[in-house]
Formats: sequence, C-alpha cells, structure tokens
Amino acid sequence: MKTRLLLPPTFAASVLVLLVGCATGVQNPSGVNVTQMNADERGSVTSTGIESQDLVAVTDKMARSILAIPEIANAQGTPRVALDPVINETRFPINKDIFLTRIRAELNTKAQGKVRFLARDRMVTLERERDLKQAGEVTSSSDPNAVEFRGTDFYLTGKLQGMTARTSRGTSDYILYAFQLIDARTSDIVWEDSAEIKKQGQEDAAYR
Amino acid sequence: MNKHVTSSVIATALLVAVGCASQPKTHLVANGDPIADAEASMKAAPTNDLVLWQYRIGTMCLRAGRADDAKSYFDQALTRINGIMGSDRTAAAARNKFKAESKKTFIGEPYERVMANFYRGLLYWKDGELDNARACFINAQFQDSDAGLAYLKASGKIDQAAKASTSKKAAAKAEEAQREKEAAETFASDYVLFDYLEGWTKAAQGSDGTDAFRRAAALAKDRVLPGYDSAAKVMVFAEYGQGPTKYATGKHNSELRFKPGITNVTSARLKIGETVHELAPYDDINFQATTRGGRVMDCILKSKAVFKSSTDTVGDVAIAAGAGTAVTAGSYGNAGGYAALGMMVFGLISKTVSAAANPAADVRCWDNLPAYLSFKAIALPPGRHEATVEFLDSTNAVVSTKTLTVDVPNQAANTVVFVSDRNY
Repeated sequence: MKTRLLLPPTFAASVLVLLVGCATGVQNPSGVNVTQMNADERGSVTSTGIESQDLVAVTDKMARSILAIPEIANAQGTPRVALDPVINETRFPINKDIFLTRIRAELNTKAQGKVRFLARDRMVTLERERDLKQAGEVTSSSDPNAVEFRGTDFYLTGKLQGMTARTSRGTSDYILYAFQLIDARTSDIVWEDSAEIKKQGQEDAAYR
Repeated sequence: MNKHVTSSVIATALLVAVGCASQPKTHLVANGDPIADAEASMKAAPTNDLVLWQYRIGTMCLRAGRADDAKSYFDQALTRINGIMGSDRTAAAARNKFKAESKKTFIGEPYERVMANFYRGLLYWKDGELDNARACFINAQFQDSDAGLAYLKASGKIDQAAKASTSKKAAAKAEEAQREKEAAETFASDYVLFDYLEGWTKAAQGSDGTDAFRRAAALAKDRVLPGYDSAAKVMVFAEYGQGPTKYATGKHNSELRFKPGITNVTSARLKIGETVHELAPYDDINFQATTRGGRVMDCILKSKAVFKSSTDTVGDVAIAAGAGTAVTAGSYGNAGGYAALGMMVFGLISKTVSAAANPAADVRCWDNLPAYLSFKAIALPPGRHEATVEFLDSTNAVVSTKTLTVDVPNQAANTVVFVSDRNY
C-alpha cells in the first residue's frame, strides 16, 4: 500500500528530471518569419555600431542641408558635384560609399535639377565608349573628339569619427558624421554639416 | 505492487530512449583536405559553435591563401560578435544553474575576438580598404579593453568608498581600490601592434598617425618601434608558434583557465635577396590570454558550483539522518518511519538536483591560433620577388622555413603579405 502511494510521485519526478535533462537548448526550432521593416526603423537586432536607421537619418539631414545653401539654391547654371570617398575613422568597418550614394540619390530625387552629379566612378566605361566613338566603331551624336567630360565645381565628401567608452555599465559609442562641400577651384569649404549619434548597451553577463 | 514498479521502469526507459533522441550524431570521415574536413565538422556542430568554426576555418583559409573564403568566414563571425548587445537566450541559458556555460553562443574570450578583428583587418588592407582595416584594428584593441573582474570589483569598491563617510579609513580603502583598479587596467588594451597599425593606416592615407604611434610606443615599453616610412609599401604580417588553449579546473570544473601553447618558435626573419628583415614579435597571444583576469561569468559559475556542492551536502545529510531515524524508528512507531522516509526522499531529491546542476566552464577554444604576431613594412621595387621566411627558436636556430613570392604591382598601392609557420 505504501509502495503504491510512493510510485506515482517517483515516476512523476523521473519524468520531470528527464524533461529537464533532455532540453536541447534549441531556440526558435521552427524559425522566425521574415519581417519587412523600414530602413529608418530600429529593429530587434541592434548594436552600438552604424545601422540603417543612422544612415537614413544622417543622409536625409545632409541632403536637406545642402539644398538650402546659396551656392546651390541661387547658383547661375547647374553646379556639378563629384563624390570624394568618405574617411571612416570609427571602429566599425562599413561600406563607406553608402553614405554618399544615399545623399546623391536624395539630392537627385529632390533637387529637381538644381545640382548635377558627375559619374566619376564610371570613368573607365565612359572613356571606353568615347574611344569607340573616336575610332568610328560606333555612331556618335556629336563630335567625338570634343572634350565633353565635365570638370567638377564641388566635391562632396565626409568623415566619420568615433569615440568609444567601456565601463562596468556597458559600452557606449559616439559617432560624428561630418560632410563637406568643397569648391574645387578655390578649396573653400562652402558647406559643412554634421550629425551625432550616441548609443550604449551591455552584453549579457555570460559574455563578460 | 510489482505491476506498478514494472510499468514505471518501462515508462522511464522509454522516455530515456525516445525523449533524448533529438540530437542525431554524425560520423565524420576525414577526406584529406583539412579545410573541407573542418567545414564538414562545422555543419555537424551545434549552432552555438558556429562562430568558433568560422574562426577556425577562416584562419585555415587565410593560411592556405584562400583570402576570399577567409573574408567570408570572418565577416560572418564578426557580424555575430558585434551584435551581441542586450538579452540573448543562449546566454541566459548559460547562466542557468542546470545548464553548462557552453550552452551560450560562442563568441570567444577577448583574445579570440581580438584575433578575428586582426585577421579581418589585414584582409581589408590586402584589398586596399584602409579605413576598414583601421576600424578592425581599433576594434581589436577595444575588444581587449575589458579589464576583467578585478577591474569591476575595484571600481565597485571605489564607488562604495565615495558613498561612505569621509573618514581616514574610507579614504585609505578608496586609495587601495584605486591601486587595484590601475593594476587591473595594466593588461587592458595592451596590444602593441593594433595601435601601431592604426597609425600606419592613417599614415598610408596621408593622415597623421602620430597619436596612435605614441600609444603603441608607450605599450612597447623598451622596444623601439620603426617609424612610418612612406616608401615602405609592402606590409608583411607574420604569425608563428602555438596559441593558448582552455581547460577547466576546480571541484566541478567551474574555473576556466588558459594554457599557453607549447612552442619552440619565438621569432622569424624574412630574406629577400641579400636583405634580411627581422620579424620580431609585437604581441604574445599566450600572454594576452593569461593576463585578462577573472570574468563576470566566473562569479556566476562559482555560485553554480556552490549550489551544486551545497545541495549535494544537504542530500548526504538528509539521507544519513533519514537512515539514522529509520534505525531508531521502531521506538516511535509509524510516525518515525514516515519521518525517516521523508528525510531520505528529500535527500535523494537534493542529490538529484545537485547532480543536475552544471557549473562547468566553457572550454570551447579557437585552437589554431598562433602565439606571436609580427609585422614589418618594407620597401621593394615593383616586380616579382622571391622571399624566404625562417622561423627561429630562442637560440636563433632555424626551426622551419617557408618560401613565398611577393608580387609588387606598383609603388602607389600597398601590397600585403601574410605568412604563417603553419600551412592551415
């Protein structure tokens, strides 16, 4: 009788122990559905580094700021701008061209022809095409020997600099995004603007 | 009664047989290609070990001259380790008393994270992406900036002293804690090479690398570092020796320790024609691994170990007390018998809980790291140059030799050469 009473709890305890012991630790075994997000949205996967929402915020601000300057807004004719690669001095490896690409795209979309960008990153292709025209191997709608590649009026460039602090309360990363428009003839910096983003976080104690 | 016992045993056996069968075992067969074998092992490994395998295979690919594959592996690993902020289920599991630390996603100890950044940095440099190379070197130094548990404890003591009264005793305690904090900081961010390379990348881009050079020179102590020579466009990265491994010690294997790799290669030299370039070590990974100090996780493991020991002791005491009571139970009738049984069951439960507790430290280890890192920037005219690297022991005797061809396409861009005393 006493044995009968003891057996069910013993079995239950065994089941419990086995359930605990057999846990595989697999998280989300059936996976997680793909979620589409806006580029300026802060997702659930975050770091203290440079993320898409930072890119959108910074480049939006820069594009608006450039359009307002007199050299662009009141320019006689259409100023030509070439891109000079951004210098990244932060601790985060990035595709740094993405900043200038987005500023250019924003300006081309919103500036309504007030400013034109030069495709200097396509010069190899363009020169090959010109050579073909000059050689008469392809047709040309204008004099192929005339120099028509435009010189730039301004260079758009920038620099990313960072400061990192780590304490017992976590890690903090400050990044200064500074962009400049430089007069190609005089080297005057005709426009400069910056954006600052600071983030902090701490990893789980298991990683400290 | 027999029926119940039999059915319980059968049911338990079934649960064991069926319930735990969710981890298929894969039998791996070596096919002779170490990288392919490692890739097969990675596929069979738990998801939590993915970064570990990416580290290992990335290194093997780099040594075998498969730079694109190496980049891919290190990129995947760095993406994971740089996004480790905030809550993490596997990390929470690792803190659980009943789960081993190795349940967490492996990202490695600081010296391992440092090395992933270093390797990726030199690969960026090889591709002419100096900004990103610099970012990796800065990040490598940052990964070593965690001064460890001693630093945290000392900081806590300083905070406490600041809140305490302004008595002489409190001031003395604060001073002592400050000294402890400074001692702990001695080994934080103390790699010479990364500050030096940060300066090099700046100088190579026409910026001022002086500040980074000064930091590197301070860390190098008595050793004189070569200045940034604008004519030197060939960047030679060398590694040699056997890096550290991990082991667990203590009663419940809850204490993580690092074992320096056994190696007789302690330096190297590069010969190109008649010119000999010394490839002396800038940093010692064995030293870096063993000087970090404790981890926050060590406190958690210690607490788990205490729990395991105490539940075991409680179990022993309860079983012994129950057995003792059972012997004398006859004098007290049924009540004495129930009490004895209760104590023994409690003791067994406590022993079971103790057995289930898992304070084992995580000894997963990036086990193909080198012991020493070296760097030399040299000036070579454009063209093809045959070179020999000799790996030397402490008496300068040649232990092994490697030959390589250095192609310098032009004087404008940097040429990056990586040489290891291992083939994989």
